[in-house]
Amino acid sequence: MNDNQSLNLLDRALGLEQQSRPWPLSGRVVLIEDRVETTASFVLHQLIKRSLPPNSSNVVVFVAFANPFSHYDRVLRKLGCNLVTQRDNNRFFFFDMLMLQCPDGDEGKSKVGLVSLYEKIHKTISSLPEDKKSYVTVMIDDISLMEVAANGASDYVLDFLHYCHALTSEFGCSLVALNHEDIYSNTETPTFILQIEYLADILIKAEPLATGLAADVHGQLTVLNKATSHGLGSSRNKVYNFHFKVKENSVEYFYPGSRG
Amino acid sequence: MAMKSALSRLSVVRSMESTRGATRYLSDGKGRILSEEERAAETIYIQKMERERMEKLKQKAEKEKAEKEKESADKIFRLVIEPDMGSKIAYSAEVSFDSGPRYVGHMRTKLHSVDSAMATAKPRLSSFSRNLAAVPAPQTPGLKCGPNGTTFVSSGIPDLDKILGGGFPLGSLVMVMEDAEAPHHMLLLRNFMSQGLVHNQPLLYASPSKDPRSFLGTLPSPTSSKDDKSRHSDSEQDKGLRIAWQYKKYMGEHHQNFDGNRSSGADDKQVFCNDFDLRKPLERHYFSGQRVDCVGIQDSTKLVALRDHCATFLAQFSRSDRTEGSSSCAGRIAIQSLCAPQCEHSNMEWDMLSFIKSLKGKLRSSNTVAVITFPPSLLSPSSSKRWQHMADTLLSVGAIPDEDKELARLLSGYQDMVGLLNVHKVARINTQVPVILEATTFSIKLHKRRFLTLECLNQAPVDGSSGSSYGTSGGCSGSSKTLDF
Repeated sequence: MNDNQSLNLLDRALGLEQQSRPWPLSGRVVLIEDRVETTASFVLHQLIKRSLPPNSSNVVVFVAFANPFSHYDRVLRKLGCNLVTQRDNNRFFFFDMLMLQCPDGDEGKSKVGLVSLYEKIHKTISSLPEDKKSYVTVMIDDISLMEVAANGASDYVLDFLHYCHALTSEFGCSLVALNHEDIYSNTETPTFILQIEYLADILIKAEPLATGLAADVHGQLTVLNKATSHGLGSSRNKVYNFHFKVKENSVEYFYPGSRG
Repeated sequence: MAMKSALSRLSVVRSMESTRGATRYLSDGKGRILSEEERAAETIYIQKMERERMEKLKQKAEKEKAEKEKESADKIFRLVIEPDMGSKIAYSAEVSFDSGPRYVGHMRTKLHSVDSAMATAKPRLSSFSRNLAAVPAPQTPGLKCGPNGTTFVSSGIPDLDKILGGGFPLGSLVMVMEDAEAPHHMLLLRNFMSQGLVHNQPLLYASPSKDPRSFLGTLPSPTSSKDDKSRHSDSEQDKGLRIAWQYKKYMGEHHQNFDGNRSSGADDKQVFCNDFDLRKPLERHYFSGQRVDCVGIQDSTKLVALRDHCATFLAQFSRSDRTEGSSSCAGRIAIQSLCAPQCEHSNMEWDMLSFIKSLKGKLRSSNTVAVITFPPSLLSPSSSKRWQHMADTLLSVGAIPDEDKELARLLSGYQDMVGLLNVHKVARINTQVPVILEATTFSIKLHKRRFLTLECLNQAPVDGSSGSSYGTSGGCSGSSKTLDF
């Protein structure tokens, strides 16, 4: 816990500076939204790294629809986190769902659908020793591809997410999911994204700057940290807003205008 | 000190003269911007003139230095005193130019600084090309190692390769958003396919047309290496800045490093990216073999046929995670207008999406690049966004209106433009860093009506009165599609 210095703006916005609990995000749902112009996958990468600090026993369950393991391995290695070692130590569970196709209709019966995926996740978490269970982070990259895999049956995806949400109260683990905001912005009633946003305790939005992208500023993040039910303190939402620049081994966060 | 100011004034006058001269050459008196050939000719002329002048000055300096080394001391004194008479500054500076070793010394340091600049420029040049030089020569022609363990294949358009930082990485999905009313995506597709055939890479082509194989007859042919070379030196002259002559003598070796894989190889097979002559059809022997698979997607329900073809095609190139990089052969998939309305599946958006998803999933573990073109206007907005999210590299092409007076006034070289190319997304495989390009909008031009070239948009000078075309040409359009400057 000597890395208080290395906490950046995003960590603070997520409340990771709290020393009282070993994993401040436990029991919470984090939703990350991005757009075609600005991808927010770097937030996922950072959360993987934060979830797997060297001298702790936190566990990450990663459900990948977007990229193969080698991609994440290479990215995280540059960030200073060896996923292969973590996988061998049973602290990183990777579910490669790139080829997942669930035929719609017989969702419950088929062995390859989202139900079986949830069962796998549940089995993984419940097979962990008792003291580790509440320090598990389930990550999904990304929800829109899960919809495609379910052949457009968004209700199944919502069900899946509700089940995963139930995990956070059952075991006290946390759920992190990435989705693309602009897919739904054109539909008249974006029920799907609204439902997920309602589930989320923390909402992170990555957007391009209105003035276009620059070499120094890759976009801006808006973090909405909803009221914590745990504390007795104030229950209002907190909004953080800052710019970011993505680099290979880190991400720089800074307040608008504070960079020349 | 006065002496110094006189000298600096002199140099200012000189530099003003030279810029004025240059602008005069460029702007043709009436402010009209010259065509590219003319400008190229003038650049050469200017370069020659400058070189001669510099040579002369240098010689003079050497001679004078040798002659007047000894008898100089008193003259220096006189020269230092003289300029104090305010109005004669310029004159005395002239005198000092004639006889003052001080000036000669100054001149020499100037030359020296130029030399040292060249000396420092040399390692910088080499470090600039280090990436290419350090990389071991690829065993297979047409493949180039990129950063983060990726391997590039060429897009078939040299400029596009440069813009994308090397080409299309293997295992990536490239999507081109069509202009619904113009066939510009076919230009990209043709060059992409031709390049693959020239490199002897297997090709899978799918199209909604009745007879997809007939499309192969329209593929452009690579130019012979001799033409290629002349064209490159041409374009090099074309682009040459006015100061580039200083580095001229370094240009040769630099070129051999940088373009070694492109123009110095006598054999076409060694070239990473060919130039394609759009007027010459590709010779038959390139696509007569078994390497080309053509699929019609017009009436295959639920894309099953295409899916099967892709699966069998990709199976040849699959790689495991361990053997990544040791790729021996690459394949190319080109799918034209996947959501064309004449296809049966065109209203089954989820089927198309799941096809793309499975294609992408298989691509990631194979040495293949797939290019899919699609008209986004035919999809529902949310579907089109989904397609765009799935693309690793996302481009869009568009025609430009023939007689758009406003645009013609805004952009230089408007007459030669064929269309516009937008780069929305560049593939980020094995990295989290986004690629931020200087400009995202490029004009598609036909060089000599044969070769496809891409250029940054150049803002035309206002009225041409200032003639500062070089000053403003840096202003490329921003990221937006509408050409706001």
